[in-house]
Amino acid sequence: MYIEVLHDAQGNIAACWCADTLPQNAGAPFFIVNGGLPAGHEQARLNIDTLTAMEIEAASGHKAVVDPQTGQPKIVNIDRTQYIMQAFKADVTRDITLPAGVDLPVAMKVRGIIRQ
Amino acid sequence: MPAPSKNWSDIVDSQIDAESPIDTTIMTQIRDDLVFLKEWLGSSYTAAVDHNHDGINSANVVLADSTVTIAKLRLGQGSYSTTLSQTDHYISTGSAFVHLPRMILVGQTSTATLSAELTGAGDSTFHTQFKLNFTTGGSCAVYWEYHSN
Repeated sequence: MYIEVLHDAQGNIAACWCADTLPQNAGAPFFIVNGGLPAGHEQARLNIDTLTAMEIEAASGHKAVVDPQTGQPKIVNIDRTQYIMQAFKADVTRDITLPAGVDLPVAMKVRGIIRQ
Repeated sequence: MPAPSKNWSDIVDSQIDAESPIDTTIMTQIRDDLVFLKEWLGSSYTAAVDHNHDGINSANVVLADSTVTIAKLRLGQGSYSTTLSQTDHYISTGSAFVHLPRMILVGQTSTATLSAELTGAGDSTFHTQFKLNFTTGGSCAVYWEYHSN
């Protein structure tokens, strides 16, 4: 799972890109906001551990929930990016050193992830 | 595959007991059975421990049209969510072969348009990207599936 986000100075995620496999051109941004990044925002790749990845996978997909309005069960689809934006923030308190050989767009950082 | 040139012959116990001679009948049966086995395995292919049907040690397996279903393809999923409206978002799909996406808007007054495009210059292969024009609203999500092999 590969994740790139747009986050503010506090780490709140305003946009999130996620895919199963690494794109062929990993040295380019996975998404571009037209007109440049909003003030105070930064685009970064997220570094997540295996347990967090498992949590994201388990929390996303089709889920059976009880509709609070009707009390009846219904199926909802929770996407990985939605869950990441709701449950996590980018960790802006520390920088992660990039391992050798990893392609990353110039000036883009790798951030950790923290729970909201 | 053509039928073997020799027929299979069952060799019964009475042909190989202590009193039975090794005659042309039994020798012919043994020879014919070996030829039958060799040709049954594929006489024009290289002998190998395992037959993996690569066209060298055994015949290729040719799938008939329409026998490969979506479930047998290696597909990946990608998605993009944003709360940042009043701008265009260019979303890389990360793959050359992508299925058309679906878009979900959250919020009664949300509006957005989504298009797929190929852009670039020079001698290169360009992968599909989506252009999301998220005009207004709470949040917008785009989902797509792509071929990862």
